[in-house]
Amino acid sequence: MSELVEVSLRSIYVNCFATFIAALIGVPVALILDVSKFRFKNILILVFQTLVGIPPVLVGLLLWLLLSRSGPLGGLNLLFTTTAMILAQIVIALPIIVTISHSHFARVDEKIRLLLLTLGANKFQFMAAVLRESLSGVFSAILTAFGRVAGEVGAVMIVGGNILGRTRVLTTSIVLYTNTGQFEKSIFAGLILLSIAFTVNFMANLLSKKV
Amino acid sequence: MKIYSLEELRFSYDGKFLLHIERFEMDEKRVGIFGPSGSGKTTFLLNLAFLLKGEWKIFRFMGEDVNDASLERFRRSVSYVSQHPVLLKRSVFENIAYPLMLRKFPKHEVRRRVLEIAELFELEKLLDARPWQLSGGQARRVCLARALVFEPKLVLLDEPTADLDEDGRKMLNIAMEEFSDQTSFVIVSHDVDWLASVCEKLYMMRNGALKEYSTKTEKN
Repeated sequence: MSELVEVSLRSIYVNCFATFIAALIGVPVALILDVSKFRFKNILILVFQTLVGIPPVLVGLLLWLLLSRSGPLGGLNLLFTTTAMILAQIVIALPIIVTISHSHFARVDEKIRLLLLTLGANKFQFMAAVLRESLSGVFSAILTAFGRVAGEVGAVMIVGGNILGRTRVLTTSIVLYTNTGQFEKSIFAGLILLSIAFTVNFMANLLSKKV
Repeated sequence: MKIYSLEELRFSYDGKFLLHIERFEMDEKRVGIFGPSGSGKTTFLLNLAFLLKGEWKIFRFMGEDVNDASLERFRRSVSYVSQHPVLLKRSVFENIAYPLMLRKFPKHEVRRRVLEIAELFELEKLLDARPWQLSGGQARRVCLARALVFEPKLVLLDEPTADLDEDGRKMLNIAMEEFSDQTSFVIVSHDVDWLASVCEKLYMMRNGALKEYSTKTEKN
């Protein structure tokens, strides 16, 4: 039981921290993509849209190659740590947050944009207002990303190694329990995962109604 | 000092000329523009609000040349109220306070000004309401209050009476009087009688061209 508590806490930490960092980077990137005009903007948007569907196993593999002893970042000794797992989940969550947020920003009416300009908003104030107008959309982008990383198993298994007491999380536990025939434990871990997702969604909904 | 001074302003979209103003000078407090739908009135107002950029021979605002460097600064001293009320997804109070917040007015001053103008437009009881709870006329009054609250040098009104009942019009007339010391108005409207009653000078717009109009000789 204490093992499941520890694994659950680690899952919450890894998933929440990765989603938080991805949001911290992704939302401003989406805003800049919305308000700026530059040459390869549409191509960049297309790249992010494509990365939404990237298989987590591939992310895990690429990150493993980067972080392994012989890889370019091998000296950081990050492989089989929660930091590596967080990095992998950031890579998975970031395109989701950028793409969904950007699509909500793009939906802010041209009339609102003209209004912001005529009321005297500078570029930063303009972006802040576009963000505020699309806040519920940004929340849904972050929640979708959280849902994706919370249920993700391939990448964290590769870069985390599913080490008991260090990198085991709920999804990798479910795989392990299932492979070893411990179906009761497996289902119980699944239920915990579901209740974490439910709680996060519930809290985010409450928050989005307040703002 | 002339508020606007412009010559040979042209604006085209997709290669089609929408606007060709030979000459427009404004030193009056209130100028009205009317004309058939699609004649270019809104396009002209958006150019005057520095929200659209055409080509010109001379374009001066308050005696200063309009150019890329001055555009944003000038934009901050005028206020454009569009034909259809546009409100941000926030309370009426926050909507009216928004231009003051952008200009970093102190909180107590924001509150004082919002309450003052809300009283003028009879919006005191609606300050906590959200945009979707307002009628068309109420939304219009919020837009007018927001356009005036920071006392801009110039307010450009596009069909301001469209959703207003008689009381709403009276409020607008009173507000224009109250702000007349510091604020000038360019008003586009189909209601020529009302325009003639509130403006010092009228122009008629047809096919993107502007012509001065005398209410005494040409009306009807």
